[in-house]
Amino acid sequence: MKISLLSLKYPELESAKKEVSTEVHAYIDAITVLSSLQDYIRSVGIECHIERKLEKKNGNPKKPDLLICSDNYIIVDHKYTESENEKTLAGKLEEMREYNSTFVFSNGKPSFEKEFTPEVVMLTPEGSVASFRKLLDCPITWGYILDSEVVIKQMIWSIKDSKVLSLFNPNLICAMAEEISRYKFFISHPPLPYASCEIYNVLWTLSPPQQFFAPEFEVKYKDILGVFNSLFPPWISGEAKQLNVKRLEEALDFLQRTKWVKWFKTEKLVIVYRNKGRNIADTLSYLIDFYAKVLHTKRVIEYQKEVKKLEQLQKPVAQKKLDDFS
Amino acid sequence: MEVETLAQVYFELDRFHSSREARPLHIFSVFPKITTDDLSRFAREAGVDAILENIGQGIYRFDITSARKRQHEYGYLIDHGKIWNILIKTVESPTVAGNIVERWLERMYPAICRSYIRSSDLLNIMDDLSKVKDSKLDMRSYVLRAHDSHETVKKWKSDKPYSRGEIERTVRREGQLLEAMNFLFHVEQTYFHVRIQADGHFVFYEGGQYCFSNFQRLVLSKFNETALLNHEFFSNRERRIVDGRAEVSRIHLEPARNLGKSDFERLSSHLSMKYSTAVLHGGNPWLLMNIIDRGDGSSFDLHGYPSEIQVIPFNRGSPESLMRLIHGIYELFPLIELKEETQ
Repeated sequence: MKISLLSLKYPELESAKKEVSTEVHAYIDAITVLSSLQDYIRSVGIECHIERKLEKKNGNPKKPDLLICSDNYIIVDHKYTESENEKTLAGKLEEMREYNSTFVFSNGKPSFEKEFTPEVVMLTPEGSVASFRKLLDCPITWGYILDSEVVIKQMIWSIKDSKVLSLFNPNLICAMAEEISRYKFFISHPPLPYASCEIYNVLWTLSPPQQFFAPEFEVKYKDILGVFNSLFPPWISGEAKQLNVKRLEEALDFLQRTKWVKWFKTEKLVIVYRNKGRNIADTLSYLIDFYAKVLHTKRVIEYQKEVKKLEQLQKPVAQKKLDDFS
Repeated sequence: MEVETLAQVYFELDRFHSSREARPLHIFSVFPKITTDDLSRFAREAGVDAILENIGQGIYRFDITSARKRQHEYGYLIDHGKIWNILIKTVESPTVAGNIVERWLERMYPAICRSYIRSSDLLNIMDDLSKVKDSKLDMRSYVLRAHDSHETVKKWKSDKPYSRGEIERTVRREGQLLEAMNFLFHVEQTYFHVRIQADGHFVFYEGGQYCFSNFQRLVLSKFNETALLNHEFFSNRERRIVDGRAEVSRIHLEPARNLGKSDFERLSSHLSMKYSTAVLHGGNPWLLMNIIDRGDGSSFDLHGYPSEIQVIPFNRGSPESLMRLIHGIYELFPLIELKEETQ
């Protein structure tokens, strides 16, 4: 028991901030690198799909970040970590291993179904490759740099598919697609601070045109939802879009906690306060910190509960009996 | 004398500014988002004052009061439709008068927006003047300004002819923004002395017979025309959904040298003074920012690459806000050049 209590670690705010920030930046990187790669691969005549749902022959379906339908089927999954922690890195590799399986590809027509065992590629920032390299069982790994172009290098092992292989000479370089300015949510599950930041943007663009100096303005929920839906690309699955109402409500709840807006759920109305948050230099970084604080508070409460529980268990039996009697 | 027509206003200004009592006149070229009927109401909402009296077709007597010190200035407002010219007579010292109107305009944004033209447009106006038949362009000085510092006045030797090339070389060498030109223009046995700025603020000092009319015809109307062309260039660029797909329009800016991480840090910090900004990718070397203009709700994405800056309007991107944002980027990178956009 004593060991268990000692092993409980008080949650640190800084690590929560780092964790949230990593998640947000991973999402932004993923949108950029995957959309650019998809545009490029399609431009050379190879079919590919972002977040295409694939049935596993034995097991639950999977939705890889990118499926390249070349001579071989290639699954590319984006993994982003700033951690050097072996357990964290191994966890990412474990997720990758789930793709080492037989899948069924269907193009929507009942007559077309193809079974395949994919080549599996992990796509990660170039800087993270060295950490992964130390581990055994690393899959084929592509390291990328977001420069004025997207530069992708084969860094661990090599792809076998000759068509895709020929795109590396020696690096695969493609133009940055800037899809992020067309669609803010290229892949599903956006982190809450990022989604809230984009929703805050949307709220301002819906401000009434002639209310320049009013301290606050109203926006109708249905207008926000309309724009929010348009921020997802048309080909993203209906299933993913169905979650938009929930995502939007979560983002509005979160923005309300910052006191920048007030959101009247029943009236389906949001009030935006013009002067709130005005002096914040970087809205996204503020929202990341704010969310990390929320997360941290939750973790502290959980920690305290856990400590209390363990303390109860550690009480001597006699004391316990005395407590029970009293 | 009662004035009812533009000709009469200009005649009055010709007479006054060719007399010994001449005091500088501040002129502003601005884009309104409101009508003259609503101006007083919006001014009150913005915490300043404006009183208008219609004296002729599109001509108003115009009084303004500043926010804090309640300083008062007056003159004319000429409504040209899409663009207004505000003409303010000097009551206090010339600098104070100019500052009062500048601060008043700042408070009135986005109901009234400053018009901006590029340094090259400013030089085009000078080039056109230098080509007027039987005229003489007598340069006095030009003004350069680096971000966050005072202006540098570059004196021009008397009798040395105007040279665009020389000014451009100095601008390039010093890497500063060409902000203003100060000159005398002699034509038809008369002249006018004026300072013109790229942000649509002019100081008309004095002149001979028909001085203001000539200035209006040869300089102010050209400036208005250029500002309107810029306005048109930046119009209708919002992100829109066409046949279920999102279409965006990009404004491309090409810097004179490659930009690095420290440039992007300066850019994001500079823009965060005036806008609500969110840095999505921090500029190593790619910078991606969201920019919200809290004035009129315009929103933009800014992509910064070593050899290019792209501004992409989001669902709302008014031309006035876009012009102001681009001018803000010029302030930091004066040698950056605007390129034609691609869809």
